[in-house]
Amino acid sequence: MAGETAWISHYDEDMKKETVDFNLELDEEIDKDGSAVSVDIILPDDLLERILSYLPIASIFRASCVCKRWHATSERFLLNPSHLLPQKPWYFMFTSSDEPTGHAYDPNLRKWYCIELPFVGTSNWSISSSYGLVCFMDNDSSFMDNDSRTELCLCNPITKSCRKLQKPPGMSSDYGALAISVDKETHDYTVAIVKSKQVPGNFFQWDISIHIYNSKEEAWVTPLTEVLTGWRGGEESVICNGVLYFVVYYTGGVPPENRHALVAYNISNQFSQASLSFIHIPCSLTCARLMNMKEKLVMVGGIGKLDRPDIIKGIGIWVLRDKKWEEIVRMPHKYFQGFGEFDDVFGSSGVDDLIYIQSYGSPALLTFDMNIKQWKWSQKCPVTKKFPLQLFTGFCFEPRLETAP
Amino acid sequence: MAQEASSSTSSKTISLKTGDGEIFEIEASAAKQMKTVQRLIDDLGDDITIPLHNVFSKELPKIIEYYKKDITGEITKDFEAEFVKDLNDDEVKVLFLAANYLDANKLFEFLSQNIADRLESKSVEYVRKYFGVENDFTPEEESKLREERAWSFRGIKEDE
Repeated sequence: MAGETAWISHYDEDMKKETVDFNLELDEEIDKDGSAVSVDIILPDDLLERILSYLPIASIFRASCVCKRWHATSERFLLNPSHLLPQKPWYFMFTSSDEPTGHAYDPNLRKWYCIELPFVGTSNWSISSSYGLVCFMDNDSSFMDNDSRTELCLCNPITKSCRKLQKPPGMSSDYGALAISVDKETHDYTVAIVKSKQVPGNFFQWDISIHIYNSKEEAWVTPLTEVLTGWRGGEESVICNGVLYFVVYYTGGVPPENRHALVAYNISNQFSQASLSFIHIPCSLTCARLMNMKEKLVMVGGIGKLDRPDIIKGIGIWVLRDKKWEEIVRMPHKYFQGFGEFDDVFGSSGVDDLIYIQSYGSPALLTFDMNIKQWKWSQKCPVTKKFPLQLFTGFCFEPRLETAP
Repeated sequence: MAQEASSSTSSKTISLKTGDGEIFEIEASAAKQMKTVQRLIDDLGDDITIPLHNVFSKELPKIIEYYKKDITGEITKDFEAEFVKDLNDDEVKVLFLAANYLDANKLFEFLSQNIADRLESKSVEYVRKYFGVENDFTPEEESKLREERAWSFRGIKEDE
């Protein structure tokens, strides 16, 4: 048929694409009203890739089930996500405190997916994530005598690849904070653990030790041990731009300024005698959480009332610039109220431009987009509170296929 | 010999002839946005009716409409939403392929996004039909794949 050959010949001449893997499959369907003949065209690879590049990850997964060629193209595509439009990070919410099950929220599609984490750990573990990898640490070593029974596991929640990491050496600790950082180019990763242990017989002194694991060397080093007076580490830390930040808490009675402070430790300088530097925290904060937002240190915390610092009157977001905190925004009252029973316990977690805030007492999830400065409720999580004291926690992570533990 | 088509004023129009023999006029500045057309103008001259064998009278007017808006800088999200509102999935596909053939980048990108949006919630079977793709997985292979990716098939949507 004339139409058919015209397609092929002009396609070859005019198209600048190198190899046109092009089959013309004539599937004539005369429309009911007898007009045009519809011709099904098989997309060449480059056009297919173009369309795939606009799809969110979950859809690309499904696209890989269409046929073998699509499977190959999707896989190639998923492993080379520089072609993909930037995806907003997801949020995993535990729906049980005893099992690693939960729902993952995809803000790109506003959908919740049922995802099982590929290992046996629970929401009580410390969690840190970076570039698609999520690191879990079981802190429950308070009853152990010598051996630190810290269990460490690294996984990619999407691909389900999982790996147990050897434990950091040393004594058990009273508190441990976990942070992971993945190099975007090499996919090597650094895991940092800050351990705090009360010096026996002394209420005010705490042994702080920093342990760093490097995936290239596959070994732990302990570049710093120090004794802090009046301050102890907790469970909140993050690595940002090669610096390990962790929150410390005043233990000396009435605090000089605020009950919390921030400590910074330059990881990249671990071979030159880097020490800890203290950074003020803008005001008395509850549930302070640190996050790496495009290599800027951001902190979310509940602003306590002056006379009752354990009662929150608001939630604020700050960014650290040149060792000074800049307040970005405060949660508008209507959202603050929308959490309902906002126990003073809430969690927050964020990546890139998106921050997730969740009250422990309910599965409501609020997002703040730092780029467009917009607050938005997520699509409601399909889980209900089964008993009054049920807690909901979660963490933010990037859905990536190309990183593996 | 290539004429200086690029120095045409904006009032100059180019004649385009579709694969089914119809002729449409388009402003030279709009034609510039379609690289294939521009190349043909460069080769054949801007006084000659440019043949577009692979584009037909059903879709070319729509493409011309888009670029008419583009040269006046009036393409907005609302315009684009309106542009595709009444098109069914097949019509969008035809436009998409035409935009690709014409190397009309802006329209092509917009339609890529639109097709992706339309397909994002469709079933695998629909997508196969849409692109005329044969399923060459064995039933076992396919069910294994679907199981591995089960979570992406069972998006739990909140009842709206």
